[in-house]
Amino acid sequence: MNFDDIKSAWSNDNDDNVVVPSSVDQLKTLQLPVEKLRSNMKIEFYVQLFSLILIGFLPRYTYFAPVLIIPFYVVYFVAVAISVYYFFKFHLFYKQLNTATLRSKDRLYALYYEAKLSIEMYKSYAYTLIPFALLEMAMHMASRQDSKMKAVFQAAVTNQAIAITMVSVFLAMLLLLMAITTFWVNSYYGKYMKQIGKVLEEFKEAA
Amino acid sequence: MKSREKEFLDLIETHKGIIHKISKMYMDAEDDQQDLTQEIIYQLWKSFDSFQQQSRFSTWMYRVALNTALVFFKKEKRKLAVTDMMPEHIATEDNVAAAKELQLAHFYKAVQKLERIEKALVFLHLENYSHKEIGENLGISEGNARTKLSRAKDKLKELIKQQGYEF
Repeated sequence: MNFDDIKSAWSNDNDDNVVVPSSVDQLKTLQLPVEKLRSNMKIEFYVQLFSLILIGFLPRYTYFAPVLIIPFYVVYFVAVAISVYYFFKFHLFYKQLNTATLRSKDRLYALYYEAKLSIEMYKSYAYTLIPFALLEMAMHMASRQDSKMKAVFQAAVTNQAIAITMVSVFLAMLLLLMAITTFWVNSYYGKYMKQIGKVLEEFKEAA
Repeated sequence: MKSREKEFLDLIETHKGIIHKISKMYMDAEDDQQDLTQEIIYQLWKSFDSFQQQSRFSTWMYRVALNTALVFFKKEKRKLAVTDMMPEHIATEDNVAAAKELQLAHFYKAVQKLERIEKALVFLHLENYSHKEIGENLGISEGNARTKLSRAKDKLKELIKQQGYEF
């Protein structure tokens, strides 16, 4: 056998098993990593939106010290403003994914780098929100009249050692939540990013 | 059915051989081949508005279909049901058609072990594309296409020989 033999056999290869659908509506897709990213992004968007709305009602369904309500909403609206900015960015990327076609190699490169960038942006968004979440949580805990935390917060104002411990705990929680976020993003999107990376690597080697 | 959709499906029917070959080159299991076929047709439909009537449909189709195959990944949970693609009846018959089928079966089995880009190079070569056209399709230079194709062919030859088939 040689390549001419293969070419000859190739040109006679039977294509009867390709079933062309009778309508394009019958086509199902979700096999490309970008499509999967897109679908995961959509799900996450709804979950995050729902969570943000829910947090906004926190002072209504749990006790909040009246003095902390305004600080709570200041922090909350800053977090909402940041979210709106990121949601807008993600929306642009999402739209781009929807209209993106694989008609050219350049388009393919652009799309895949864009996907990579968006995941990184998503991580930075999540990291940005963590301190806000912790602040809201701290305010919530400080509000509870029966809470031991209230006494601790009050003690921290005069006792430096307690204040340092509290800041350390805050930072430790921050780091822990960042690690959890990274783990979450990597397990939810990482698989597809790995696939994308593999394709990009091959392109790079071939160029 | 809308006329645009009908026009598209008719064109796919005429050129379905391209999809068939790409799916077989890129996926080993039959289920994955079918999934890739679906995905290619879907991506073609999605891009159909960008198809310029002045260029040949097949030329445009090669590009979209190959790009789709390059970024397509098989379903994870599906276990590789790769059967030895050399059916016994082929190996024992010795008429010309059976010989061709056997050659092709060896070829498809070997080609699975190539890298994605190498598969694209071999595919375009078998479709009689020049080095220049291959380079244009894959976004690499003509010289690079020549070198890479030569390497891919050598690799393929070696793989076919490893299957115990004379090359």
